Amino acid sequence: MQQSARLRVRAGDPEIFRELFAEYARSVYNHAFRLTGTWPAAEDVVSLTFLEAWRLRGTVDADIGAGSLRPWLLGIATNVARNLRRAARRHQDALARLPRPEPVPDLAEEVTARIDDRERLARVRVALAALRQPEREVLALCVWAGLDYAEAAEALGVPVGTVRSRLSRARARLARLVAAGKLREPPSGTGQMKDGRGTAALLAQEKAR
Amino acid sequence: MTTSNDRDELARLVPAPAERDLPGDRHQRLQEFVMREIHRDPHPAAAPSPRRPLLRRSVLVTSALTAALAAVIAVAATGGSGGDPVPPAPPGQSGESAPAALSGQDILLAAATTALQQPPATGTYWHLKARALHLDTESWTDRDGRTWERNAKTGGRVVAVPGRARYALGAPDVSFQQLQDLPTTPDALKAWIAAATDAAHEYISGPPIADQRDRHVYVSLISLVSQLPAPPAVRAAAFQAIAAYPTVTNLGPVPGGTGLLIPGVSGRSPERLVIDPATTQIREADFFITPEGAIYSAADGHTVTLQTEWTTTRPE
Repeated sequence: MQQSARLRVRAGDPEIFRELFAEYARSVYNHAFRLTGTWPAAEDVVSLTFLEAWRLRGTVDADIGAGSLRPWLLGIATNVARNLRRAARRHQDALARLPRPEPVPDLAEEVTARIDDRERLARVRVALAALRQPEREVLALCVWAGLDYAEAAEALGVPVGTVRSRLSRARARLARLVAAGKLREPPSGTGQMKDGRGTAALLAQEKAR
Repeated sequence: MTTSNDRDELARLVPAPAERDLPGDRHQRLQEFVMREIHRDPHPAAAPSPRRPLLRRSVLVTSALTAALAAVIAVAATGGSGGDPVPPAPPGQSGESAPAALSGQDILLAAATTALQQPPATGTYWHLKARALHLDTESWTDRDGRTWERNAKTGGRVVAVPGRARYALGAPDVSFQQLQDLPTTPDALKAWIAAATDAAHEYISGPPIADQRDRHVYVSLISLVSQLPAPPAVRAAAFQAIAAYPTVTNLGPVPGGTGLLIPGVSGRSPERLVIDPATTQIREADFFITPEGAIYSAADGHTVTLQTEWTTTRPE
């Protein structure tokens, strides 16, 4: 099933891109938000990621077996978010045809967000501000998007050891923030994923996709 | 401290915020937009791309190789705005200029022969200089592996790098001496790097999947010919090994030497190298492999200029 999805991507079958969008646009949107920090930018990343995926369809590895295409798309999204202007320049003609959204003040969304989510967002922003870009990217891919190390390495085009060391540096940097009192220890018992599932459960869920 | 602990600890410190959907009708609007653009693409890849996966070892006959490359270029050139600067020779132009007499493989095999004939190193320091739009870095490494560097991080001053230099050879780090002792036939060289790659992964999560291993080996080979102080016989073996990859093409004479299009080191679009046929040095590339093994990609429309040489002195 997944194998044939990869073949269809390589073959340039437009319908598989419709399916990929339906299935993964939300993942890409949230991943992009965590990297760019704003929802409008995240929306641009979604459009550009799928335009880039179409452009790069010939590079998808059809021999990888049953692997999901989610890491491939998140890797493209990471590259797009890293250099949004470059991607926008590449697709500037297409973007000129992009329907612009009705302006929705971000603030309204923030107010309606649940308290614990606002707390999480605040922590995410503190963490992102403290990390260097490569560390932010592995944090977003491995911890928040739930990719395993091999998938994150594939997505970023770096060795697995590099993913590992970047995560380790991210952890050390955030530990220093905690020690300096700039990042509070999360309240015990609620620090894991919502409804108490841990990373392992999250990863198992991601794997099942 | 294991890596899974790193991940768990990070998940505890900064749990993911709740996910949300695209607002209002944006999911549908953006999907329609993307599909319109895909259908608008003048070359909607009606036939499956004949391009081989990036790192297959099989060697295609030259005509098939050329066809595969043309397809790769077409795919890259037709995406998005059409102003994509990555392929340096859009297909529309290749028919107008005289066809290159030598294949990419020929160029690399010739480079292997020339590399073998280069005089043995006589300098004290291996000097590597890389410049691009947002990159300006230089290093000097002596035969004991001591390294000095100058870049933005050092504030433009030459400073000694603590510890012995380790070189990123794809996934594994190797010492200066290990570089000198690498095997000198293509198969043995690739086998050595593959084994070292497996060893480098062993304590993480078992050996890498075959495709990842292949990619690390490929990046290692590119590093050996472009940036690392490898001896002539090792560079020759690396050139021979790279020549066996299916999608290498000769872009013909360009400023600084001969242009080659090679499988992308980051696993995405094919990338360009400029080789000086007289010295076999790589003068330019679309990327730079950092000492940590990360891949720096040059900005659109820019390349990384590389300079590598043995010198007898280093600046203080």
